[in-house]
Amino acid sequence: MLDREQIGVKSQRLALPPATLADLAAGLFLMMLAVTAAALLDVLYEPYRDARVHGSQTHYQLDDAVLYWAEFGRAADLNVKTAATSVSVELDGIHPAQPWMEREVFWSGRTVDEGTIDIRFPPALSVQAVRLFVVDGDSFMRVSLLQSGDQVRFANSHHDGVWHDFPVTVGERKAGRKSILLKKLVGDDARISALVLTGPGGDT
Amino acid sequence: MTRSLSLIFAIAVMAGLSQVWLVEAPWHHIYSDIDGYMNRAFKLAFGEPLQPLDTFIPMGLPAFYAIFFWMFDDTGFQVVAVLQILMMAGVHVLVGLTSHRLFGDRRMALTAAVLSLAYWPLTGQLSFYMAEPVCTFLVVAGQYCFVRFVDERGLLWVAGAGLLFGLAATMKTQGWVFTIATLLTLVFWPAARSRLVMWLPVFLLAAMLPLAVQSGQIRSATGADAWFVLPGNGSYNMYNGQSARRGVGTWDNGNFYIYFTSNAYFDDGLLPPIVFNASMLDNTFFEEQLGALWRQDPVRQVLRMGVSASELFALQPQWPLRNVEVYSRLEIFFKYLALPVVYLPCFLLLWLSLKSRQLPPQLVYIALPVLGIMAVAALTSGQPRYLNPFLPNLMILAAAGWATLLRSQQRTESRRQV
Repeated sequence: MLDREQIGVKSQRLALPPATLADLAAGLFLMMLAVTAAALLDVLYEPYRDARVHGSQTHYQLDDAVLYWAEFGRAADLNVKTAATSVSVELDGIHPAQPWMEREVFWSGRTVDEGTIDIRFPPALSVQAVRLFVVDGDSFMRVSLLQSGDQVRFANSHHDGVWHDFPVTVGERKAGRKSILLKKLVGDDARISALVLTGPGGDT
Repeated sequence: MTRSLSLIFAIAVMAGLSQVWLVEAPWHHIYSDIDGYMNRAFKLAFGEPLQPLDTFIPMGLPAFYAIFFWMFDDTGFQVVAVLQILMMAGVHVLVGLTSHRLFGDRRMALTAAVLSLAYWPLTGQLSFYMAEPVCTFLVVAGQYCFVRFVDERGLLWVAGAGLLFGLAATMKTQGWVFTIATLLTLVFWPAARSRLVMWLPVFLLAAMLPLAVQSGQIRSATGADAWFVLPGNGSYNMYNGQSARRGVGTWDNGNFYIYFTSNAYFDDGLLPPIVFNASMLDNTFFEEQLGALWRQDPVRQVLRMGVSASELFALQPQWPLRNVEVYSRLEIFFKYLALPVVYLPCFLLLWLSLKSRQLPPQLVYIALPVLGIMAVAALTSGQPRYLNPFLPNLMILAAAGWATLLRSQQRTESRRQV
């Protein structure tokens, strides 16, 4: 076997001096410190990621005085739970959707682009507001527009369901009519689960 | 040195050409906001008036593309691709020249240039049309001009530095970081201070010139009264990044616009998209929304800023290289390789500076933009591609780190021999 000196290799030149090794180790330590700090930030931020809520939808039950309550796509296009006399709802472009799994409000009506809800009611009924329950039960990428005249609402982050209020204006009350546009902005479709008319004398 | 840098330039051009051949049709990968840049470029090229919303993004890149679309029509795409290749090859050469000017060490300069050449994410980005390749060239060229100015004085060098930094800021707002870093040399770099003080008006005028042209463009499109206006995406981008949503949209008088977040962490826990009844150009509205985020949960926002800054260095395929499978695999490999080869010597340099309690101002000048982009990422978002124009500086720092280690080893060696 050849001696290292014989083949011209000076082992002391190849080996890093302890001081250099110590410097390298210190550099490595600083780099690991930075990597650890970044990882720690990531861990601390974890609770804020993916705020999808799989909680209950108990807020689907309303305490307001309800004149009319219908659910979209539960048993038919429009499944009426509570109805005051002479209220009618017509849907254009909104059809029953596939039910969402493991959600309390599993039903909805959907439109792939836009649809309208046309509500007619007698002026004497004094309807105060139309409320729409919007749920995003199968996706995390859905934003819908709800619009009635200059009343504009956006259904953002509605995995747990949200009631959107549309006050009935004096003109609409006199005309006995209110129309609401449902339009998909982001996602596969726009969905709506329930419609309620509130006003004096309704069921509470 | 010249021969080595020429070789580096030739290899870089070949590397660039080879991957354009691989991708075949880079414009197939134009999407998201880059699509918007192209639309604006065509408008500028063919004299179509700009609309207010066109001024949402910086106008430098559309203006740059417009020149070639105007001159060559659709062939302009290929001309831009070739120019990008030449620019990136130029970046590697300029990294070597800047390093040599700053530290006077030939070996260190060549190491920096080779590191820059070998780091695939810099070459890989050439297959795509985006602001980063052009911006990288402008800031590296501007930095070289400034370093040369510190060495030799001269109107051309200082005006060149200012103009190139100003142009970079019209390509990507992050380009401002280099102008600010250069102005800060007045504080920490005596050699630069003694020269820049005299020439400061020239530097500032040159840096502001491209921004003034951009401001004029924005004013004519929006009818803004203010004498100096910037692109409208400032507050929107801050809200977009700090809210960490999959997208932020606006419903503006019946028109719907949305930008989806295309970060490396795209599928990793971003909040659902949100839409506002506002204009994307309404800075006051987005400032209010940002204020509301901070009032609601300041701890979340502080953490979000830290996470955004660290995401610049994410070990994930970055947009848009992840579109090409072989590139994304290469990119991940190089990002891991960068840990011991690029980042370790940077930290080593930091350690040696702390140990010796000496921080050469040249190093500070090169390090400041990297810290600057981290601050910008913290305020907005940390898409890894945002780091690209700042990577050449990291290569200079890495080469300086290895060279300092080598010198310290040689010193120890010679002491031992004595």
